[in-house]
Amino acid sequence: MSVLILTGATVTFRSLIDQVTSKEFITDISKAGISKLFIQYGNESANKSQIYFESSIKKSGLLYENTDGIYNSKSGSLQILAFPFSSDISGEYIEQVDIVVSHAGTGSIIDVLKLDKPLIVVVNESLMDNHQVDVANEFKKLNYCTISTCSGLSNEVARIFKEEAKFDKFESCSSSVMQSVIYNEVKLAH
Amino acid sequence: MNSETKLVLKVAIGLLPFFVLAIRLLSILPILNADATVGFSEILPKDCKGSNVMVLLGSGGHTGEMIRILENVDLNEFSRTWVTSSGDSKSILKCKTYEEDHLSGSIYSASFLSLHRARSVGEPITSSIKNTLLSFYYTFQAVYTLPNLPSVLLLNGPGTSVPLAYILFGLRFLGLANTRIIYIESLARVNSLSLSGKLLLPISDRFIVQWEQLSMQYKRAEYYGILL
Repeated sequence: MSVLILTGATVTFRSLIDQVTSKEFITDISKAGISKLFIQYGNESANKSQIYFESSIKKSGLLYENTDGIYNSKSGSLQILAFPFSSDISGEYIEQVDIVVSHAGTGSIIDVLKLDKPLIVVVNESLMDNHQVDVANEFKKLNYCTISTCSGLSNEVARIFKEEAKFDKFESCSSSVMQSVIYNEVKLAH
Repeated sequence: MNSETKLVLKVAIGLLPFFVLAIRLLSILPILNADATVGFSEILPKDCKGSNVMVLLGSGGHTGEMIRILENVDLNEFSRTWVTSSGDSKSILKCKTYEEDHLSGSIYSASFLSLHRARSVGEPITSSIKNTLLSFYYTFQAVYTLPNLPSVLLLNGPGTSVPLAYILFGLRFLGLANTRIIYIESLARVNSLSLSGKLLLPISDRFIVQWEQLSMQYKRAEYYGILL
């Protein structure tokens, strides 16, 4: 069973990285039966995300191999693979895993919901002007996902895994709406 | 003609330009023509093919939403102008990937416009008024270099939306452009509009939100569900 962690590509969610590289988290999810952990750690300019991730994984005392920003590590039966970002995150990762933990960015949330994967949203409270909380709460109300704090994350992962939590299927609008709005406005501009 | 009549005539002639400007503004302000603005067209008329559609990519989250919205849209029949902030290499990369994936067969061209930022990272905010004026100036400069102005401007709310939309609206006011503005509020705005949304509500021809509770608060806000 595998879990994917999405920490955001433009602004790295540092406390989430701290949490998912911590000894307790790794031990807890191993115990819960997770065998693979994928971590997307971010792509801030000047390698800031990578430097942060490397210091975090060092702190947890894990041995790792680093090839061009791809980190491989192992803790007991748990395999860990970390990468900065992917231009095809849906096909390469989301589709392949059983549970996704994501920051509350709208793009990431929608990518996960479209592939109908169990989703745990962690809200980054350090972001200013935080409308991410609103959107995460709204999706939770619609039973599309669940919300967790950083510290409660391993419990939530174990719970979702054990209960095989059933979420409702996400529905977006008819895909042709924007097309016909654009056609109409181009026509009116003529 | 006595002096009083002359005075009245002078005042009337003096005020005339302002009346004309006010009437022009009232005639083009979308907010006053609300009934006429919520149409759909399934088919694009032949003579509209090759029209220019301008898309603004703001930064991180805004760009991510815009690209996902455009996954459901076919822009092959239009020429495209992608607008990014200078230095935002991630957004440029995203729209180039989008062009390759979806528009490599289009017979119309794609162009890229970079908007100079009024304030570089790390520079203190000395005067927000100065920065606003500067960003209007830089945006105007960039728009001025365009060979032809867009038929449609597609925005989803980064701060750079505001000068770009107002400049194109100003050009329409003067009869120099026909640009129609489509504004899509970010999915992250559930209960209230963003500042860009509030500022652009009066001049947007289409104003689309992605949460029903938000559409209830504004008569002109259209809601069709989540567009991403």
